Amino acid sequence: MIEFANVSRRYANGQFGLQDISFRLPAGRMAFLTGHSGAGKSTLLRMIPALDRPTSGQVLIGGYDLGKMGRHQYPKLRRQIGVVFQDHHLLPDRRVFDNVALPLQVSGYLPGDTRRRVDAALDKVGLLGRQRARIEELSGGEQQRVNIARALVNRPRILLADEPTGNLDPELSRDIFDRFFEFHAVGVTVLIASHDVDLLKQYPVPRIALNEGRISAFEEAET
Amino acid sequence: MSPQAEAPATREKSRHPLAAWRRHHRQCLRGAFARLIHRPLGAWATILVLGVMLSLPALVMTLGHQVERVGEIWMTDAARMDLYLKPNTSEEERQALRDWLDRQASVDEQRVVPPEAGLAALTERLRIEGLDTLDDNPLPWVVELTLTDARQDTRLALTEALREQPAVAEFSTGGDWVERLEQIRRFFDELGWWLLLLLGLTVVFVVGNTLRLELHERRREIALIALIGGTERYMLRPLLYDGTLTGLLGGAIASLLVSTAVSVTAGPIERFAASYGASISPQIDAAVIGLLLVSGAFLGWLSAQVIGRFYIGRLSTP
Repeated sequence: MIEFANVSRRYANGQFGLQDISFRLPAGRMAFLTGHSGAGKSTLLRMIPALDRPTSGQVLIGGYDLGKMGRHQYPKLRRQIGVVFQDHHLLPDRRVFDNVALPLQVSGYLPGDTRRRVDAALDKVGLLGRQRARIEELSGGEQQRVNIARALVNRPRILLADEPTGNLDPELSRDIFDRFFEFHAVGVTVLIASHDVDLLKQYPVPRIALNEGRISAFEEAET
Repeated sequence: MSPQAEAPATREKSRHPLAAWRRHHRQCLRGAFARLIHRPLGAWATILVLGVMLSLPALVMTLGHQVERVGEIWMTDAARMDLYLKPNTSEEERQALRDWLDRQASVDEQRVVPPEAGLAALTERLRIEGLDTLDDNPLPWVVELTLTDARQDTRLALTEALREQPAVAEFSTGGDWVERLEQIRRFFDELGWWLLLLLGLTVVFVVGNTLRLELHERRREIALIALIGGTERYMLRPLLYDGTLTGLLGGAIASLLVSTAVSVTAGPIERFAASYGASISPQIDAAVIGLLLVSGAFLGWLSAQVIGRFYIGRLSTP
């Protein structure tokens, strides 16, 4: 469950990244976060794995109150969250396998389990057989799929995606969104930030629209 | 793959914290060696600078140890004392003095040297012909003492008591030089420790700066590991191995430099000692080598702790 209650984020220069944001996304549900560039989508997403803190208000993630968490508790929270970035955040000097295996190695999985899970994750995103490939050898779409495989390999309870299809063509974008929808179907809480309105309309998912750091609209899923 | 298909029990079973911890340590050690080989020249220059800095206190300490060895050789002089008796002392007075000396706990042995024996020894030592033909032997009766120990307070107590003896005109002790040498040794020792402390602090900053650059290069990786749930200890561990290895190598280079310096100066020192009838073979103490390696490794580890905790904390938390 993701819950924001009157959350604001004010920067040192006095500008607001978020203003009085309140919404609740129950466990296992999916939602889109929409809005123009600079509307506050990334700021909101960064607060969920405690990469940023609100200056006021309360953020509750799966029973954790982020305002009351100590630094030592962040890793436990973050291992339950998978994050997909627009710019991939992959390690270019490592192979596909090493990139996808990283969350499992950090969590202390045995090598055999790591191999099995990485293979399964790569199979799911259609990259089985590319384990030994270097990141720089992959296309933009393949790199994004490696990114998704890494976000899911640890079987997170929450999946966050920040403009996951920003650089991809429409067909590939739809393929990526289909995969997110599959994960939502098996009980993962999914929150995706995107400004691609045409793409979002194709999915029956509620939308939280942000404008200048505030929620401008909350649209229920169109069926 | 279904993201949450597995039950929590199975999820935990596939993890083994202790095995993972050991595996990560092995990975970090291998990684530290690999990075060392592929490091740019600047990083190797840091190790060399480290070696030079650590070698300075080690050289001072080694010098102190050589002084200590000279002191040990001359310690036999410190445990000896010569008593020069007044002219025309009678046999009874000499015997009374010998009996008194026998009763002194600080006196181990005594040997009486008559004036004739003294003159013969002097003639032989100075190689001057005709000394034995002098009408009057100017040398006094001498009693050579060997003390039970060479401590200064033992010698002081005995000299105080000897002033009360009517047959004793003068006495000489060989302990002053040893006392001075001991003070010099203490000075070198203290100077060495102070230099180690001051230069050690500098080493922390020098290694820290190298590690800071390394952290800067790895900032994306660190931020990513933080995002996927890596603990600060997990992120810090590779850096600790890098710092410790850098410090250890710096200590090894310092040992090499000091050993070289001692080898180069060994010949002149041996000849100088031989001119004083002593035999000294300068060598670096094993304890100093151990100290250099341990202090180098510790300082490198400390740098990594200080720099790592500061930067990783900033990279991984809001």
